[in-house]
Amino acid sequence: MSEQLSKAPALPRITAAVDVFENDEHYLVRADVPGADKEHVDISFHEGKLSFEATLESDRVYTRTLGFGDDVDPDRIEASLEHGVLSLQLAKSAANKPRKIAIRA
Amino acid sequence: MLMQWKTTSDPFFAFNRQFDGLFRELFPAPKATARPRGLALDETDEAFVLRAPLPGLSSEDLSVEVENGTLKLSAKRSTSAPEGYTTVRRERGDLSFERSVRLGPKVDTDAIEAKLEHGVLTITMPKRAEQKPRQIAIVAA
Repeated sequence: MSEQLSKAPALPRITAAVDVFENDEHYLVRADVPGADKEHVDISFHEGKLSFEATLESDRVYTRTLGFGDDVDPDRIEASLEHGVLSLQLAKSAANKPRKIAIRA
Repeated sequence: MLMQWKTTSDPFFAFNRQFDGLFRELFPAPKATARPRGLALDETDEAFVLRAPLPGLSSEDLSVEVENGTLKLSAKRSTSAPEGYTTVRRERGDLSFERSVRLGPKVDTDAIEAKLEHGVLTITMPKRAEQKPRQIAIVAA
């Protein structure tokens, strides 16, 4: 078995189910990655696309890519992992936030 | 000639079937995405080991009981939008279930152990001593 593993066979890639929520300030992404620990989760944001991969040792890879365009500030993305659920908070870029325009008297 | 027919009287056949159905119910596949490989039931010399992915559940959300040779599982999870947020996309389901499964005579019900780690439930059901393979020593004459 260990010999097989050392040849690194391609693990089955599973599209992770996600919920996406938003408010004026943030997007919040929650993804089911049961069995994953934080040492084996890779998250990236590139050209408006959020991608993650959670690798379960010798078993499977949960992965997903979500497009946010320029609606998100790439420098302000926070991630946490609890009970096999990956949570990502993405701050909306200032330019795209709804702005209240005051009417001058 | 007599053939030993592998019958479905194996207690875990029904168990497996029920839990497979259960899994589909709990986590219906989001459209155009692959369904996670769900339950795994492994048998070793020592035990039956069931692993079930239950992401988002903490031990407070889950109850595992054994009574009169029946394993009872119940769990709840809520995936509603956090306070102040609106929903953009929703694929993860809410979850509320209660299931009972008869274990049959092979399992030592007093020794069942359950563990929840990283959203995966592992239930280890040791076999009764008489069900485990035993090496018989050959006495030299």
